[in-house]
Amino acid sequence: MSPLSARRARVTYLTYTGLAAFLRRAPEPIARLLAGAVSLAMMKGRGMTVRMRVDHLRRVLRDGTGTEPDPKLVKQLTRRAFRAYARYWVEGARLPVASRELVHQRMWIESGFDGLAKAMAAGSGVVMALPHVGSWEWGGSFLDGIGFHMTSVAENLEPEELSKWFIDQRRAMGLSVVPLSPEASGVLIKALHGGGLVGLLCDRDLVGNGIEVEFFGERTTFPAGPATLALRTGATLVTAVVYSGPGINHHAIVSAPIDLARTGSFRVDASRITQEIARHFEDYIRRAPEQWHMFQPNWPSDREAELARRSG
Amino acid sequence: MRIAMVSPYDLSAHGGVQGQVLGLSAAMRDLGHEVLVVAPGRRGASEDGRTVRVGRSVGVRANGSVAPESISPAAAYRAARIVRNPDIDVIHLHEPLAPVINYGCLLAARQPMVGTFHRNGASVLYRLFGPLARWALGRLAVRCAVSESARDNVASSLGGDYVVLFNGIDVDAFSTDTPTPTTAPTVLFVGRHEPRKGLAVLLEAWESVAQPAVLWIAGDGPATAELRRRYPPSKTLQWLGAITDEQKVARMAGAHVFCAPSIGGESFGIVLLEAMAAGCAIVASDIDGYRDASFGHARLVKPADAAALASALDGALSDAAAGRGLSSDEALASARQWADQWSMAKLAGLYLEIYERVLADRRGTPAQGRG
Repeated sequence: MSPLSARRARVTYLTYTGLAAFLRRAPEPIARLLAGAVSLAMMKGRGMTVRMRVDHLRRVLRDGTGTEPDPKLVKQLTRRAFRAYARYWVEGARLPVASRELVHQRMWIESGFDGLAKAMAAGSGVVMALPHVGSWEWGGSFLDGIGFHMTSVAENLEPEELSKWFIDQRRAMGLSVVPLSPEASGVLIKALHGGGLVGLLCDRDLVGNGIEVEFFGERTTFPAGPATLALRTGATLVTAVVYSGPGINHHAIVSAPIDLARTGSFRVDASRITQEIARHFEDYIRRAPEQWHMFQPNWPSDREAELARRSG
Repeated sequence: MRIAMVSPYDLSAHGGVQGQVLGLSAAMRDLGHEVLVVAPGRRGASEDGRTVRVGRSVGVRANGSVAPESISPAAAYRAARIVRNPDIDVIHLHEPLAPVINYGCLLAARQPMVGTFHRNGASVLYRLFGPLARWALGRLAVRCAVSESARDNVASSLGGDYVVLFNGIDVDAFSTDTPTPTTAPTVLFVGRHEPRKGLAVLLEAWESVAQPAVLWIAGDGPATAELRRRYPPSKTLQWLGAITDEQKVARMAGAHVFCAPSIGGESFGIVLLEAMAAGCAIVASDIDGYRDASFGHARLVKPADAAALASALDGALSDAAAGRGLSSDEALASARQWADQWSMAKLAGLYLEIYERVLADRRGTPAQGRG
């Protein structure tokens, strides 16, 4: 690593850890104020981020009704989207030190808990596909508190010590996180064979080699992980979402198990299953499009539009 | 804990804020706390000693509606004397910037204060008295708002940080054994007849609803006469006039679909949750103020669009007739459970958590289980 990039890595690391340490120790209102200011700076400063967020909101709202959404509503929801993201960070920073009681008290499972408990009791493992909505960590922490410990995967961040720090943070919340690597799937398969719970965020395909699905009216790719793991291990596959609200509480929905019956080739089945996950995610996101933490291009047409803007 | 709950509005006049003050107080008492309600009204304490009225209220016109507030400095003084009682641990001001008894408390209180903002829609008062209002905000240990839009309203004029909570509903009050009988699929509207509430849009849409159904219009307001003339009562359109709370519950329990066509200016769709608790499927306009309350348990349509509303009503009515979609037993039960998450008991729990924290901060000891 060159000295300059080493310094930059250090700065990135210190910014994240410093902010988190502050968010954790400051009184809740001040922490929220700071996160709000940061999110506002994001909103004002980074043109593409805001444009993308608004585009995604519009897409979701349009898909629900078939007509162009009310501009006033889009504006209000955009503001709320950035606030929801700030809330996600504040809660994420404080979750490692939050008491079990508090996590439990502020959580409600709207539907699907009995099905999840049954699948866990069956002992053949559960794969839980999650979107970046609300706060999945809150849900994971809650589940750990009632004896369903979750193992997850995280992308690698630069610098490495930041990745390590994030993993430690998650561990303090009661979540095991495996860094994305060739060995990761081995760890997950082992967890599933032990009857464990594996949570995978899979509404954005960072690598771009996932499975094609129809998602909010346009084809894009989803990571293949959940379908592949479930098909390989025979674990139960469910989708789930953890929303923020009412107020400072959270509420979650867990789906019924997705049908994993083999009907064709592995590829065809994995594709059908992943499409089913995308359908569930559409329903989840439609209920609270402002809580979908999606700020980057996510469909081919987003990327094309960005390219056209830059060259035009 | 001993709590003084201060309402700037006369409790004998019906209103959203008063309903929250009374419901919250009752829920906190159920949890074993002592709550003293302080409000305008004819001077004196109630027999059980739980309510003190500090002086007559007058109708004050603000934001297009009339608020039953006290404007007497003597009432503010009396309120201040009551809340200064050292037996009281925490003071909770509702609509902290509404005149006048809250001002007395803000000036004189020694105990930590929590404030809840209910109002939605820009307030001239906030802007006019900016510096004073900001001072008042600073006196509050924690500021809460009943919804994102109530928060936006106060934060856009005055800034500051707010804990966004919600309006509680008395879930049990919305289950009744005596629903108003009806022979056809029935749509219910409850609300003031003013442009903001969108009744005119609903009536226009109703003309093109194809499903055989009845529309009940409850409430009244400045637009009643004009709208009634244009859309006279008929077999399928019944004008109910103003109805009592009990009648409202019975109508909600009897109706199949509840329609809330507001064009804007709603801070929170409490009425949607009430209708869900009573077992209605919901059709509402897609405005920011209704999003939190509906959350997938309602059919949302573009505001002020009669054609869109008509087709949504048609969809909802045919679902109701067939018992499918949002009118299936499963969906109705899940909407009822959802409404339950917004109960007064849940809200009281969150406020008590905030009081504990404020008291702990005051004592300088760390609160347990901070989030």
